[in-house]
Amino acid sequence: MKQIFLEEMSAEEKRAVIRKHGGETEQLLSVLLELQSLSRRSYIDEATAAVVADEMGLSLAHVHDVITFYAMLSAQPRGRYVLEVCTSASCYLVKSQRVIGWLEEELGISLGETTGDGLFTLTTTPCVGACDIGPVVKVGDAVYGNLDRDAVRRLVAELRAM
Amino acid sequence: MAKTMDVLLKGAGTFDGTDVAAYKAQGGYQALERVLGMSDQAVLDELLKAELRGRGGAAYPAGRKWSQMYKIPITPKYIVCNADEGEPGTFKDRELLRDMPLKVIEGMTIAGRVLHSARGFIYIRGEYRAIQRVFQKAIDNAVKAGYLGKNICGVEGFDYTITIISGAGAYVCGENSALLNSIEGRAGRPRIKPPHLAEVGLYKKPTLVNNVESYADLTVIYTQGADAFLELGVPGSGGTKLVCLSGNVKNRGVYEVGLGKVTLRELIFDPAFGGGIPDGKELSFYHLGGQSGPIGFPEQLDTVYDHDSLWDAGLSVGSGAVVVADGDVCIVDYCRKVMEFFVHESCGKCTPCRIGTMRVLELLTDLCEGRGRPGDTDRLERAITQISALSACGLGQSANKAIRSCLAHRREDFLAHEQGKCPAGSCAMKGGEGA
Repeated sequence: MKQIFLEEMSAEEKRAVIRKHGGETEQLLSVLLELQSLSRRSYIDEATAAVVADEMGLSLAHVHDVITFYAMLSAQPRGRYVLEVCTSASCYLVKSQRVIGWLEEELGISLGETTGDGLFTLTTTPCVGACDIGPVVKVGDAVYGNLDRDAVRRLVAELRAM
Repeated sequence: MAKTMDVLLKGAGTFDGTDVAAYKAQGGYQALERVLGMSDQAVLDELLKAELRGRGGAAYPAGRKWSQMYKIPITPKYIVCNADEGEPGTFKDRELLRDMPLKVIEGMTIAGRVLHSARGFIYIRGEYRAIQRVFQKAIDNAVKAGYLGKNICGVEGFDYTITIISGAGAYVCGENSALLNSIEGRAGRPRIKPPHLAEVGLYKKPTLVNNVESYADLTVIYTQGADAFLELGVPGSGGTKLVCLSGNVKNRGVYEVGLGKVTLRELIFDPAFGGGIPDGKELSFYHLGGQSGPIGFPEQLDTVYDHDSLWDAGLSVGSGAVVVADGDVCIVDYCRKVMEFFVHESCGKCTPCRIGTMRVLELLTDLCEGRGRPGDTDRLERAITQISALSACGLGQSANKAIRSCLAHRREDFLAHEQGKCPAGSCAMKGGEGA
């Protein structure tokens, strides 16, 4: 099945995604996370934020406040795959810094940057609750653990092939 | 004799935790059935007697929290489960949510019954998206089996639903008032307290907020009784505790222990638990209860793991995290990492936390990069004291704990860094003694 990205969706299609969550303001974060996961660039553009605001009866400022407050949400375009290396205590102690170095080598970018083809952004994250398999990297909903040099190479190759 | 317990996680992973029949075959829903035959007061009394202390980190006696909430005459009331599990080094709620969702649901339903609430919410961190789907399946199955929804267990008027709310990556939402703001669809900035959430909580209504593990514990208390629960632990700390071992320890993972039944030494070194430090290295320190908890040292290893014993030793259970560091790790550099976390997670609402954590990070960075100056250790101590005294919520108030324990036990390491020397040899000093 062909994936339809947020960037190609009409306002009406976006509204359909929002309505699946029931329309309560309580589900705002779930709505935004789902829309963002559909984005080719892993972010909520302003036009989409405006549709969310209108559909859920909120101000655009409210939606923007929420998007910019929560670390998992972004108002700026990022790579299709955002590689988040956990740098919190448990992963730090098992040398998460090395994983960042390996990913920089593999992707040819520095921490905080996005590859020229728009496929990858390399960043860090606080604890993702997978401390028993650190060092870990989170990509979307998936967490990859016990990373060594080879595992990092394989992960990037797998994502490129997807 | 150190041993793992098999109570909360009994059978975990051996059956479909979302399946009501399978859960009942494991003894599930006996607690709720028993509660249905008891008066509200009897349920509250049993909880007080069980000495269940909150499992999220603050260790507040659950019985007292419930009794306070019960007395408040305002309706409606809300039941909230804090499944934000954001304390680094903590991954025990993950096990319960994934493998034992119905146990958490049963516990929340008991709370709904006794506190006369028809609506429960569970706030699950955004990083656990896959687990949210598992939990939703468990909720749907409970509804189908008549354990959620209208007239639960055939009891006229016993209506209760549970709604999942997703977080989206904000540590501060583990703070209960921030969590409620987040459920309301807003930025998760904490509220100024009082008023307390038991009076003015979600949608300004009385709200009970407890941790995942605390709700799961209810199923033990009301199946086996308060005396049996207390027996699993020690007076003052009833029950078992899920402990999360991570960092430089051989056997990383979640272990269930009776409170007061093991020492820190057993947890870290016994083959039944951590199994010691890998690669033949020495233990340097261990961080308890998450980033907001204190740090312990080898000389404190014989402390018994329960709330009061740890407290007396200047330590705490907190969330149950035990993050172990080997001798290669510099304590000052580790404190820098801790403060980096708080700088990132400070919500920015109050100045002492927003600016203070940044100033402390700058100080620690200077010390780790060979720019330390005489007097920095005293300046550090003053700064963390002010942040903890002046911050509005638990985040800023507890951001000092790790550093404070290091200053109390390893002050000489900080003084050495003032002189451009790193005793562990891991800081890259300009002109100092690095590795």
